Amino acid sequence: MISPFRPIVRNPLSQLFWKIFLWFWLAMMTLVFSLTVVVAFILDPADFLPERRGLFRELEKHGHRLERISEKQSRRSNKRAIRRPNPDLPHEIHLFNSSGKTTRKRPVPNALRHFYQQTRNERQYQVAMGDGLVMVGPYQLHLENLPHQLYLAKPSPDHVLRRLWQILSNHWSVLVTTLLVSGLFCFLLAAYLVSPIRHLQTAARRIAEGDFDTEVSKHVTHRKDEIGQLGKDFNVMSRQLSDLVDAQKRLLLDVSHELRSPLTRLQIALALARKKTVGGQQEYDRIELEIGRLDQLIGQVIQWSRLDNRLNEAMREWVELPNLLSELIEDTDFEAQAQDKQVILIEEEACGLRGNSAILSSAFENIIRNAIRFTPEKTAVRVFLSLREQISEKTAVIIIEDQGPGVPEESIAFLFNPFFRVDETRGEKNSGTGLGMAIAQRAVELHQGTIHVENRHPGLRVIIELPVSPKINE
Amino acid sequence: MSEILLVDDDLELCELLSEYLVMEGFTLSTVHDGLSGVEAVNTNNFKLVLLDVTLPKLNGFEVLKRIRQNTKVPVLMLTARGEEVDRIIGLEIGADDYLPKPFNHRELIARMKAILRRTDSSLPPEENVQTLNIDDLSINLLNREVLLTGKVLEMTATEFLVIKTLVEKAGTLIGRDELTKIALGRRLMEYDRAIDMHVSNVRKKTGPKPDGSPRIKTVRGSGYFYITD
Repeated sequence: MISPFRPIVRNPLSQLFWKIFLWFWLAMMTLVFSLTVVVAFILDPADFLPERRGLFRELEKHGHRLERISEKQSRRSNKRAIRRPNPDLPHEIHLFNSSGKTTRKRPVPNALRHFYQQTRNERQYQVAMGDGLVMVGPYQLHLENLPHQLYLAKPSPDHVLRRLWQILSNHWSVLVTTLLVSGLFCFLLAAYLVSPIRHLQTAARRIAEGDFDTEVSKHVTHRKDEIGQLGKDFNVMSRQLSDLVDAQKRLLLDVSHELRSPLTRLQIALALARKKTVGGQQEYDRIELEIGRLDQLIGQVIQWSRLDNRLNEAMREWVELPNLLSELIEDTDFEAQAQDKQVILIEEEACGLRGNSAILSSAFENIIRNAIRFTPEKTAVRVFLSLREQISEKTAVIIIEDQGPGVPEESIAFLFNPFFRVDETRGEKNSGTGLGMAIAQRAVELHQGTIHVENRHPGLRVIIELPVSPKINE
Repeated sequence: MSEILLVDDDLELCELLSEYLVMEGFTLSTVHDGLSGVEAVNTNNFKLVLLDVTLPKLNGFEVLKRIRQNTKVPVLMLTARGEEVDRIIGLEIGADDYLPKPFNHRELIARMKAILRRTDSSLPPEENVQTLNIDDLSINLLNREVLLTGKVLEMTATEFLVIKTLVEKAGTLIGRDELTKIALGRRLMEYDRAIDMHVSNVRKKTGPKPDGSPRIKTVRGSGYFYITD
């Protein structure tokens, strides 16, 4: 049977686990990075406490120096000392006198003038930005008993990208740690979400393969979230399915068994009728033939419904495929000869497997009989047994070909359905029970094999593939 | 006193069988559950017991076990077809033969007669020739046994008739219609392959001759014969 599932996805990036993991981690990384950028943009160094303190200290240093100089000068009562620009005063220091004029000849930047007007009376240091400058002040001081304000105006030092680089290079260990920790959490989250889904997937596959007793593991059902609920519902579903399938099988078996009682009575009644009447023997013969067919059909239905989906170890034995096939071919060939047909084994290769020879034999037998039925007189049914080796697996390929009319392409898919008939007319060549191919399919599947059919114009080719096993000497 | 006890819960079948077996010259008593079956065997002296497996009150195997505690009366078990396990259990606990349902009346009579002949020495021999011997086969016509190099082959009544007929007329062609008439007791029908199956089974069971050559040959479309040298 062709599995309805696509093969397990191999590309790791298309697996849900990696999808969740990578997306969450990407989100985390983006968040951290954008926060860093925002920090670099919005916050200027003036807002960083250490840098503010540095600026304040610088301002105070110059202030104190000016005060000391002014004290010495006042003792000498030298009035020119202040009027004359202090040669030691760095160019970023601006001293405003009480009338708002600076002691410099150079023009005061507009931003600083504006800042000065706003803050000249403040007792605490203020910080502001403008015109590419960082401005700090005022430092209140008295020179010659007149109030002065000292301001520090440094060019705003850093470009955004440089600042970003500064942050990244100064704090790289923090960033790496953040990434690793967030990565770990994303990993855990992805595992937490995906592992129960994998459990569910495995269980679903097992059910599709016919193992209706499958239960989702406790890891899933013990969860209190939606996935846990899904697991519980899944178990309920699989139990329901299992019950339904069992009920159906039981019904089929029961019906078949029940049919036997009236059939037995019919046999005996027919025997009585034969004894009691003289005429009608031909009709009685027909009735007897039909009883035989009905009996055969019931037997096949029972066999088919018994071929359960598992083959326990006790039912397995070592089966030599060439032996099994050649014996079968000898027998069927004998029967075919009565119809002026033949069954020949064209090719065989030594191989075997652990399985049930009776079940396997019935599979091949049903297919060969079918082939005999449809191949024309004076032609042969040909059987091939070959071995195909792939990397680590060996597969026995059994091909059975007839030279009959074949099957319309659109019917091929239904060939293994119970009671499916290509031609809706019954009787004559269509006298099979309609279960042979279905039994063959189940038997092959019980041995982990596959079976399919193709037209070979003229005729039909049935291809059975069975995994073979190395022989273990017991 | 009746010779045969039928233990079966299918009342209608019991009725039909009684009538049929009487026509065949047997006398028959019927009971319909396991317990009465045991009681009937213990209080009467039957020549043969036909015992169904599925019975109310006490199933066929239990009945057989209890019967075997007191008597060696021959028992033919009627099992459901395909129940290989039933057959094995039945034979293990002392059934003389088994017959799957639904059975053919000829098969039933043949088996009953075979058992009776084996166990009842008072029955006169049917024919003068008692065994047919060919190659390594030996066919006992009295108790309907086929022996292959001394080992008993398990055969249905139909298969017995097939091999007996082929051996009796060894070397000559027997048509499919004739063989159908003899072994199945009816005419050959169109598209009737039943006899081919039976011959095939016989061939399978008897295998090739000691020298490895085939035993039975098909003549295309017309019939079969036993190969003689």
